Amino acid sequence: MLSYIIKRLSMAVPTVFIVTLLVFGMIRAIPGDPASLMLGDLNDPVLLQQMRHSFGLDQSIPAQFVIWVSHLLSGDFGMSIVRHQPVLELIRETFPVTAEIVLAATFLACLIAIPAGLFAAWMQNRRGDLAVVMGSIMLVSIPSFWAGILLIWLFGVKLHLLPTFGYQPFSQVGWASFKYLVLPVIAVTLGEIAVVTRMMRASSIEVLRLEYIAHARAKGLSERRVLLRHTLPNAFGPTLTVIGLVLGHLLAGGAVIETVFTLPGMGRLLVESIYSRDYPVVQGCLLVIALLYVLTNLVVDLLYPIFDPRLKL
Amino acid sequence: MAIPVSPTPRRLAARRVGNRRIQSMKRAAMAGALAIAALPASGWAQPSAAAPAFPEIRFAINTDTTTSMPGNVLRNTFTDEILANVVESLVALKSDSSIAPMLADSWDISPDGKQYTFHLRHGVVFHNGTPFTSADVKWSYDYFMKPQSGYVCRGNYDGHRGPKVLAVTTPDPRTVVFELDRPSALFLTHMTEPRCPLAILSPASLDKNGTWLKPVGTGPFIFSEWKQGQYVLLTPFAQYRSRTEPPSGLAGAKHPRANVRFVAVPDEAAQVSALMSGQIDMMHISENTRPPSDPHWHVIAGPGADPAAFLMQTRDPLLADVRIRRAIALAVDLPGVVNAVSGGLARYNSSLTPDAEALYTAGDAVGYKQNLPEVKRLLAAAGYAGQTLTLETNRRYVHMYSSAVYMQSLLSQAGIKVKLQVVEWGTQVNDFRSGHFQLMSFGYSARIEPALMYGDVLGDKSKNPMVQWENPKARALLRSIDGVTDPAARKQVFEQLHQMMMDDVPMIVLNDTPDLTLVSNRLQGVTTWPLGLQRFFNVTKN
Repeated sequence: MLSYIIKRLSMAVPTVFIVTLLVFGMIRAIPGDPASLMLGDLNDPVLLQQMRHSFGLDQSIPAQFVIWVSHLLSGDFGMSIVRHQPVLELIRETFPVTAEIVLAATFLACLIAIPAGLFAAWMQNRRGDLAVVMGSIMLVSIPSFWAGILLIWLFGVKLHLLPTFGYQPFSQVGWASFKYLVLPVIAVTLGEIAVVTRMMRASSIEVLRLEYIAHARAKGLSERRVLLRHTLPNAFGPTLTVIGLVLGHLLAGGAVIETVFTLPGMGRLLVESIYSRDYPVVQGCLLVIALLYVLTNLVVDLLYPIFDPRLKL
Repeated sequence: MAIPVSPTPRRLAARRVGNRRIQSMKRAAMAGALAIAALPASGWAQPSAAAPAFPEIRFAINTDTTTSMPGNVLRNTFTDEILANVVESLVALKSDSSIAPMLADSWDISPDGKQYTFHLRHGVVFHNGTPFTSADVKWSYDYFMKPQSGYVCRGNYDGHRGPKVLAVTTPDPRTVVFELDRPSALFLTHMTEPRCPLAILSPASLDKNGTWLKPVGTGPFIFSEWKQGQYVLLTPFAQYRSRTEPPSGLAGAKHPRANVRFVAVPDEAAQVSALMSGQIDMMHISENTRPPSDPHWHVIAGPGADPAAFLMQTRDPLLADVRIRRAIALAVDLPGVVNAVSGGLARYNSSLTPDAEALYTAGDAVGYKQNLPEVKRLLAAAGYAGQTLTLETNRRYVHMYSSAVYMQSLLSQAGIKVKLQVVEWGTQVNDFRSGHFQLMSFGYSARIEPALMYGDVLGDKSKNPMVQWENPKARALLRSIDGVTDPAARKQVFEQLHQMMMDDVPMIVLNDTPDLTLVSNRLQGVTTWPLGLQRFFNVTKN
């Protein structure tokens, strides 16, 4: 197991290096730099030069890359140009917000989608299946930002039950923090439910066709036992892969929902930093996202043998 | 025709069970929602110990400030807006951009225009309770002039964008003297620039190591709390000693009557929904993003000072011919475009002097008038053969995009082929600064004196590609009023510059973008001013 983890992590090194190279090159390929954006229409070439010098932008791009990578190797992600804060500190402040929402949404989605997918497979081609399939098609068709806007309109604007924006950490305000998470978590969960349900349904249908299920039924086991004991564990493997991918995707791409609900998460930080050409923050965030993908997939791979004993690491 | 099926006893029982289940589910859902709603509104709602008696005004801003230091290189528009309520300078800007006393009661200018002697107010204290003296003026000036302060307007005082300040002396605690290397009509104006005021700060704004902490100023509000990326909280300064003149711009009487929370809400739709749900009280809006009218709020509109302009690259092979540029200016009904883009809230103003300025004259009001026969004649004379021009714009600022769409359509009708190129704002700023465009729908930020605007527009493109207008005579004319303080003489020069610019057509100025604020009916005392910064003194909330 340990050797497998080490092997996987060492495989991630070239991936992460290529990501750093791409990220660094791509952000600099976008026209404009933070100094000129900060000055806007202010006509002061002397100040512009001073700013470029202080941000290290007057050096050649390869030199900037070497400096960035050498700092990275010592654990220094650099300093935000626009916010004048260490990048790692910014990520440390914003990532928990994103993680809180994404993990809560994923947990909630699994809680609903796994039984729903199993039920739909069991009811294949009957009304119950149709309802689940139609429901998941509908949910997957709703973009999370649109769901967010609808939720804001209903619960914030019309019913005045929940705040439409903002965030307060649990550590500061306790359970009041929950109030800010309800709508974004629901908005994210809806799309996730659809994806996980469809996968769970498909893999459960496959399992239900296998001989050992027929054998279990022939033995006289109850349908409940057939489903929970023999179908669920075997069908969950492929679903777990999808959950891992969805989780990685959400952790990386929460920008839209964070913007709609004004949450100070990492996605919003990344988008704002792209607009302001805050190179160190963009590079830092994208690097963390790449690492998250690698780690999420690694965790999924490590969990796989639990659900499918045929697989060995 | 459908025949109703009479329910059997079993069905009825099942329905009752179902109804009970639905009702209990409904009850549970409602209880859940109410339980969540019953949680404390937010950490923000907890009354602050500093100012428990005041109501709280919540003002939505598009992005958080990135610094709390006035005029720091990291500043953005909202930094200026927040700090305009916190810090003060020796003088202040009035609504018409004229200068009024603030921390200085009066000042004398030596006959040669090189020495400014300020007589300071008595009884003013900083937010930390220490008294304000001339030593603080000198300390603040010295701090801003250090490169490590990151003060964006050092050039206004070190000689490269204005006069050089040779010395700042403090003959007594109530007097401070600035000595300049040459007379400057804009010395006092520079002190009031909203983006980089020469704010008078207490040394307590820094820590022991000289690192910036927060602004400890003399303004009506204290910079109380800053949660980065989320909000800034200002609380009323109990010991604030207001001036007695009528309020105007940032000058005159200022009375803080509420806590003010600047809440960062980047998405405009989210701002509107927050206003509709009562979570914010105010927000800036643009002409194109006005939400539907509602009895709970109203729009406060006033003239602005940010010129919306249609730039033409005079070094482009085609646009280098002034006849082509003139044809473009005469091809379009410009007042109609302004009216359509602004929804009737802005007026056509072809001058770089905003029409709300005290220096605006009847001569500035002369603009281009649509003349299609003249357009045909000019195009034919210039040998225009239907070449397509590229008009660059962005979607971030809707008025720029809308102007571009109207201009493209109307120019095409007049026989001038134009294609739109929509780019991201950062790319457009880059193209503006490097001069890589043919036509551009652009918006300048407000300058507080026409000389500053003309100064940023005029120049030599081979040395500085972001300037738009190359005319040595115009530059010389502008320089001729460097030391002229007489408003009548300055007005005359600005009028001449306007006429020269109309002849050269390096750009078409369309209008001054109006200052629009959406305000909850619970607020009283909100006013606009051309520079667009929201001031919260004298504003109350019911």
